Amino acid sequence: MSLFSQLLAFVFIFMFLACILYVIFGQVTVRKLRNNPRTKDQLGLEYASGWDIINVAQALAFPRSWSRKLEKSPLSSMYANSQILFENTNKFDRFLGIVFYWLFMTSGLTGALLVLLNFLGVFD
Amino acid sequence: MAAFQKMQQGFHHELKAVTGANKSARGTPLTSGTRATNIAKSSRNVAKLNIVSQVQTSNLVKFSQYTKFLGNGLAVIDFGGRVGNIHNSYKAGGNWEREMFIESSSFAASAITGTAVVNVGSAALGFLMVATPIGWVGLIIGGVAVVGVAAAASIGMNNAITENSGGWYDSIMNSLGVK
Repeated sequence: MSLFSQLLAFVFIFMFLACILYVIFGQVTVRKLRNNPRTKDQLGLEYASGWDIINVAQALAFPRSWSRKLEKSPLSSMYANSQILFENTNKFDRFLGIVFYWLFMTSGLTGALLVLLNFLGVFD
Repeated sequence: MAAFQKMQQGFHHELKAVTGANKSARGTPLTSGTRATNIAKSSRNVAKLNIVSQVQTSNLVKFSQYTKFLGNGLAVIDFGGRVGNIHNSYKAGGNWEREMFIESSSFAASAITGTAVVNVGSAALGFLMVATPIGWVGLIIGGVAVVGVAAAASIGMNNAITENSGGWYDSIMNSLGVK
């Protein structure tokens, strides 16, 4: 196996874990929030169904100052409302959200970077 | 002719219902053309285009239903093509389990890559909106750029996994001693 293939396989393992966490976080935390009338309409813009899972994870995983900044912008309805979400989630939800979000983002973006480097011929 | 008049009347009533909610004394672009040109002339950026009411916000969020529809539709088409590949391999007496491994892993990986890029892009746009006076034009260009980069990344990832995961499948099977 080439170096690129090995690196890609390594990243893919983390992507696979992120997929599993996506489903668990969706079922454990976001399902609860979707049924809660206080949080139901605060989950942000859904580009495809299930995207609210990512919005919620982002609101829970981002440092509070970042979230506050985003929610002050005119695009605030695109993002989930972190203030209300923090009031309606427990510690485990937040932990799950943080692990899921950062695993998801690092594996996804590292994968994109690997493909870009391969495209540029770094591994040839 | 009667039908045309009926439509005109209906349109008039609808317009009234829409503009009735807006209490601005200077009117809206829908009621007065000069108001529209004035708005267009005074250089506004998005920070000034405040969304006035709860109704407008929820209308904006309702609009997302369409993006949702589009996103799901694309996933269904993509998935359909992949299932077709697996089925073809099965019909041709090929190693369809291997094909299924390749198709499902490349689907998962390209979906994650695209999603991650779109998410980072939309957060970046949000920060940009706060920090700089980019207007609607900048927002639209930024949005198009994000979608383009996400599509490219996700297609690239799909190709990379399709080319490589066959080899992964073989080595996993070898180490398990199946073959």
